[in-house]
Amino acid sequence: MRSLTEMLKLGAVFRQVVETPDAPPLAPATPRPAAPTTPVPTEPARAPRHFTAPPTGELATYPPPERWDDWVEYESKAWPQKEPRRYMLVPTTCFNCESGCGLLAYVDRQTFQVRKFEGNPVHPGSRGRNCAKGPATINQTYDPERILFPLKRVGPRGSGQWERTTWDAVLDDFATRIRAALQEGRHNEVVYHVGRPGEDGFMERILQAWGVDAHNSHTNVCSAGARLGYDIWMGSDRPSPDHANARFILLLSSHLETGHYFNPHAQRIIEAKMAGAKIAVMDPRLSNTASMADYWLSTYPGSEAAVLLAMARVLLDEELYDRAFVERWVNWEEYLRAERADLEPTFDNFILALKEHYAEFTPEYAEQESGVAAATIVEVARLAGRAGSAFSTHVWRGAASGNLGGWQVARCLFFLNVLTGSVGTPGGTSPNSWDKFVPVPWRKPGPQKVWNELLWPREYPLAHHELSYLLPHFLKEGRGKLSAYFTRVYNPVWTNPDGASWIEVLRDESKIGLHAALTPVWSETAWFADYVLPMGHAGERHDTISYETHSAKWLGYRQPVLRVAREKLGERFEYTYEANPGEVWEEDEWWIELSWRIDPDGSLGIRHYFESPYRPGEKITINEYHQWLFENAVPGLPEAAAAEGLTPFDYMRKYGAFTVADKVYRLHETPVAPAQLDGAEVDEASGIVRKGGAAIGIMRDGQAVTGFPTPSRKLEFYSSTLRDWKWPEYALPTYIKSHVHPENLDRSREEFPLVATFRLPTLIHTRSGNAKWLYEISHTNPLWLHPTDAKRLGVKTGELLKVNTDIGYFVSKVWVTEGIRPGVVACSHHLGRWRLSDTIGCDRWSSALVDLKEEGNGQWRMRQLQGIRPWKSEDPDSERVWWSDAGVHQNMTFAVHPDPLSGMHCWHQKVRLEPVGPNDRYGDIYVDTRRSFEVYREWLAMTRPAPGPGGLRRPLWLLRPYKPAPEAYQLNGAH
Amino acid sequence: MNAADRAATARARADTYRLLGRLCLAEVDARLLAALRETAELGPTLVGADEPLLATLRAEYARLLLINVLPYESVFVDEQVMLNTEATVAVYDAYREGGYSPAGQVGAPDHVGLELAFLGHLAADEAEAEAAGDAARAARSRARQRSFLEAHLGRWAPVWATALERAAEHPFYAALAAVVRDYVLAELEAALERD
Repeated sequence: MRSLTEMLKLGAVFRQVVETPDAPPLAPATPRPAAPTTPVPTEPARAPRHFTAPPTGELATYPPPERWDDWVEYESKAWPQKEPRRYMLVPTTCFNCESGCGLLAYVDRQTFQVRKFEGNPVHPGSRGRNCAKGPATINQTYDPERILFPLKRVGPRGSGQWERTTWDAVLDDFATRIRAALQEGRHNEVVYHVGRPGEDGFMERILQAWGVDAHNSHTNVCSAGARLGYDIWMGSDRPSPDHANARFILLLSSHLETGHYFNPHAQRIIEAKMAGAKIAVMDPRLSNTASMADYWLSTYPGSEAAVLLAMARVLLDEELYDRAFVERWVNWEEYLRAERADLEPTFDNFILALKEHYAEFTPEYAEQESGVAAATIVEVARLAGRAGSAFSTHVWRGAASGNLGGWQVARCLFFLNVLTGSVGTPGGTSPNSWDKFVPVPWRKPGPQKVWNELLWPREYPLAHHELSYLLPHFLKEGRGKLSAYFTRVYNPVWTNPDGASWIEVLRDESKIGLHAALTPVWSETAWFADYVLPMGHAGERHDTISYETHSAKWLGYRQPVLRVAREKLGERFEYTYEANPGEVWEEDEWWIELSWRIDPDGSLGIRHYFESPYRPGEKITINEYHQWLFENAVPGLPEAAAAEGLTPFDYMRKYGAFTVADKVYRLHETPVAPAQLDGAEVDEASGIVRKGGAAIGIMRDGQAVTGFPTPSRKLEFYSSTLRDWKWPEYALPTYIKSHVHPENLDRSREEFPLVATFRLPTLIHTRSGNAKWLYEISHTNPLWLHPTDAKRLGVKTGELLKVNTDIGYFVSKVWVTEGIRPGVVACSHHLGRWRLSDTIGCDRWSSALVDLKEEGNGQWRMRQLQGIRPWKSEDPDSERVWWSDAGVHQNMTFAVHPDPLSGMHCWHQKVRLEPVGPNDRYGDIYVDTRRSFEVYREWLAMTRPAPGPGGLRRPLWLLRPYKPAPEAYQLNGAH
Repeated sequence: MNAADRAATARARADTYRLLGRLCLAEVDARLLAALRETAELGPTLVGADEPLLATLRAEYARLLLINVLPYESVFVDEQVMLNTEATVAVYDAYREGGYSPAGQVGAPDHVGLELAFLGHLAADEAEAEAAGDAARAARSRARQRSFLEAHLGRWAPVWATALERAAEHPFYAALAAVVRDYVLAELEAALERD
C-alpha cells in the first residue's frame, strides 16, 4: 500500500487549482439561471424536539387534514421503542397510470426526505385508496439507477456513451433550432411526442403559443378506436360510467385490475356489487375482473360487436328499450329520411327499420361468431334492459384497440346505453366531458394556423388521434423530416409495434435532427436520443389534472412535495429543481424557460404568453401560473378557500384537489341560457339552435336545451359524417369482421389470434421499470394457452413455443390455463424490457441484457444474454433479487395495422405457433422491417383519403387534440 | 511534531480530502487536468491532447459516477438500496453537527465527494486550531474525523472505490479509485492509531 505522505502531495493540486478565486466550485457548475444555490437545510445541531401532537394510539383511517402540516408518527423501524417522528404531509397526484389518484407524501420535517406515499383521503376520485403503483412512487423517487443529471450523447446515436451536460446548454441548443424553424416557416419540423401527459392544458398552451401543430400522442396505440366510436355517437370521445349507482354493469375491460380508470372505477364497481348490482365481462381472457363478475362472456377476439348487436336486438324484440328517451334524443328522423324514404318518418317506423336492419344478428349468429352461448347473450341483454337507466358500460382498449373496425365495438356498446336510456343518468353512462374539468389558463393563445401532415396525414381524415406510430414509415417515405423532436415519457422503440423501424429512423440524423428524451426513467428509446433529460416523478412536478372517474367534476393538483414542504417552513425557491433530487427538472418550468429563450425579445409573439400576470413584462413562474388558474378559472374554489381563511392557491396546496361539481347528470337537458339565445336562430326542419353559425342547442318540446355536441345535437345513431366522408356502409353501428376473424386464419397451420393488449395490475408500461417492489411482484409474461391447444401442440407450462407474426417471430414460454378461450392465445405487453449494455440503459430490476444485431438490410435479431440477476456489487439487497425472468418483448415483432378510419393500431395479431428448434432460445426475436413496411402499405391501401366535403382535411366538428384554426382544415393551398 | 508541523499536516490532509472530493463530485476540467498531469499518482494515466482527453474523461465520469458505480453511501450500507435512506440521514446529521452545509444538488447528501469534502472541512478546522494553539478544539476536530471515518466514509468508500476500480475503463478513474481507497484506509488506520 502506498504511503500516506505520498498521497498527501496530491493536496497541492487542490491548493493550486481548486482553491483559487476563479476556480470551479466544489460542486459542478449548475445552470440555475439567476438562482441561488440551495444549501442542505441546516437546523441547529441537536435541536430540542417538540411534538405538537404526540401519537395517542387512537385508530383512524387517515390523518385529518388540519394536522397534515405537523403530523407525528412512531418510527416503524425503531419498534418496539416508541420514537416519534414529525412529518409534513403534502398532497400530490400519482404519475404512474392515467387515473390521477391522490397521494399524500410523508415528508420528514427534519431531514426533508420523503418517507412514504400513501393515499390522499380528500381526493374525490381515489378517496384515499391506491393500487400498488401509488406507494411505489417512493421506489421511483429514490431509485439508485435513476438519471439525476442531464446527459448528452457522445459518439454516434445509440453507441451508449454519455456525458453530463448543463440545462443551460440544452435549453439554448433547442431554443436556437426552434427559433430558426419558426423564422424560416419550418413549423412542421418541430414535434412533441408524448406518452403519458399527466396534465391538462399546459402543453396545449405552450405549443399553440409557438404556433406549431406539433402535438403527437400515444393515443393511436391506445384508445383511438374506442374514442372514434364514442365521438361519432355523442361528440365526446369517452364514456363516464356511474358504476357506483348502477344495477347492471357490462365491461369490455378489466377495471378491477387495470385500465382507464382502474382504481377509481374498481372501488365504485365493487360498491355497486355490494349493493346488489350484477356484472358481466366480455373478454377472451379470464381477467381478474372477469373472475369477480357474474357473467364471463369469453368472446372470440373481434366478435364483440356481433354479440352487442344481438343484445340490441333482444332489447328491441322484447321491448326493453326506453322509448321516450330514444324518441327524444336519437337522430332517427334523419336516418329515415336519408336511408328509408320508403317509410313514413315516424318513431314506430324507426323501430321497425331497426328490427329489419339488425335481423341477422340473432343470438344464434352471435354465438356462431363469438362462441358465447346464445342463451347467455339473451340473459345478459335482459339484465341490461331491466336495469334501464341504471346500466353502466365501458370499453377503452381491449376489443376496441385490438381489431380492424374496433371503433365499432365502442359504438355498438354505447348503442345499448342509448336503447336503455342510460345516457347521463344515475347509474348510467355519461359523456366524459361532463365529468372532466379543464380550467382555461391566463392568456390562452389562439389555435395554430398550420397543419402537420406527418401527424395528420390526408389518408386518415377521421383518425381520432395522430398517426403517431407511423412516424418512422412516413419519414422513410420522405414525407418530411424533423429538426427538433421531443419524446416525453414516451418509449416507441419498446411500446409501439415495429420498434426496429423506430430504431432505424431514430439513428438517422438526416431524418431527425435533434432528439431529446424527457423522461423520469431510462428507456429503450432514450438510448438512441441526443439528450436524456431527467424529469420529475409524482412528487417532483406541478400539473393540474382531471378525469371522469365518476359523476362529478374535480380538479387534482400535482406538486413537488419537497419544494412545498420547505416553502411552508420558510425557504424560497425560484425553480423546483432546486428542491428535487440531483438536477431533476420541473417539466413545466422547462417549457416556460425554453419558450422564453426561443423568443427572448418578444419579436416572434411568443414571449407575451410567458409573462407574469402579476409582474408585467417579467417571466411567469410556475407558482404564478397555478395561482392565476386557481384564483380565476375554477368555479367555487375561491369561495371554498375563503371559507377556510385560505387563498385559492394555498387551498390547493393544502388539499391537492377540489370538487367543482358533484352528481352531474342529464346535462343534455340543460336549458340554453336566455342571454345566449339572444340573436340565435332556430332551424325549422331540425330544431337546431344556431348563433353566429355555431350550434348551441336544440329545441325539445318548445324549449331550447343544450343537447349533445354533434352535428344534429342529438345522439347520432345515423352518422351523416361517416356517409359524407366516404364510409356510407358504416353510417350505423355495425359489426366489422376483424383482421383476426376465423375466416382469415388457417387452423391447419396452427394459426391463432394473439391478444396482446392487456396490462398487469402492478405495472405501467415503461414508467414502472424503476420500481423494484412492482417488479418483484410481476416479472413474467407467458403465452396463455388453453389445455386442449397445449395438448395438441405437445407443450406444458414453462416450455417454449415459437410465435410467428407477419414480420418475424418471438420465442416465449407457455402458461397452460383454462383462463383463455380455446383457439386463442394471449400475452401481456407489460414485460420484456431490455438493455444493450450491462452497465447503462434500462433498470436492472426490470430488464434483460440482450444482443441486438442488424443482420442485413432491415433484418434484426435479438437474443437475451442474461435475464435479471442479483447485482454483482457488494450491496446487501441486490443479492436478494430472486427473480430472473424479464419477460419477452413481443411488440417489436408486430407489423403496424392502422385502422383505415380510426387510425388505431389494431393490436391483435394473427400468429402461427410452432415448436422451437434446437437453436431457439427464450426471448429470441427476429423481425424484418422491409416486410413490416410492406404490411404498412397494405393497410394504407384500405384508406379513403381527404378531401371530404368542402375540400376539408377532416370534419370540423369532430374532436381533435390541439385543434388548429378552421383555415388549416382546407386541403387546397394548405401548409 | 510541534504545533506548526501538526497544522501543516492537517492542512495537507484537508487539501487531499478536498481534491479527492472534487474529483468525485464533477468532471475534470482543463485547469485540473494541467495540474493533475504533474502528479505522480494520477499524472501517468493522463496521456494525450487536452481536448480529446477531457471529452473521454467526461464520458467516463458519466458512465461511472452518474450511472453505474453510484457514489452514495445509502446504496452501499442500507438494506433498502435506495437513495436518501436512514443512512443518508445519519450522514446529514453528522454534517450538521460538524457545522458543514454543502452547496449544490448532487443527488443526495451522502455522495462520496461530499463525505470527502466534509472530512477536508474537519481537517482544515483541525489545522486552524493547531495554528491558533487551541489544542482542545484540534482534539475535538480529530475526534469528529475519527468518528465519521469509522461510522461512514471508512465503512463503505473503500468498497465503493474497489467497485469503481473494477468498472473503470479509463486508467485515470481506476487510479483515482485506488487513491481514494488507499487514502481513506490510511486515514482510518492513522486515526485509530492516534487515539
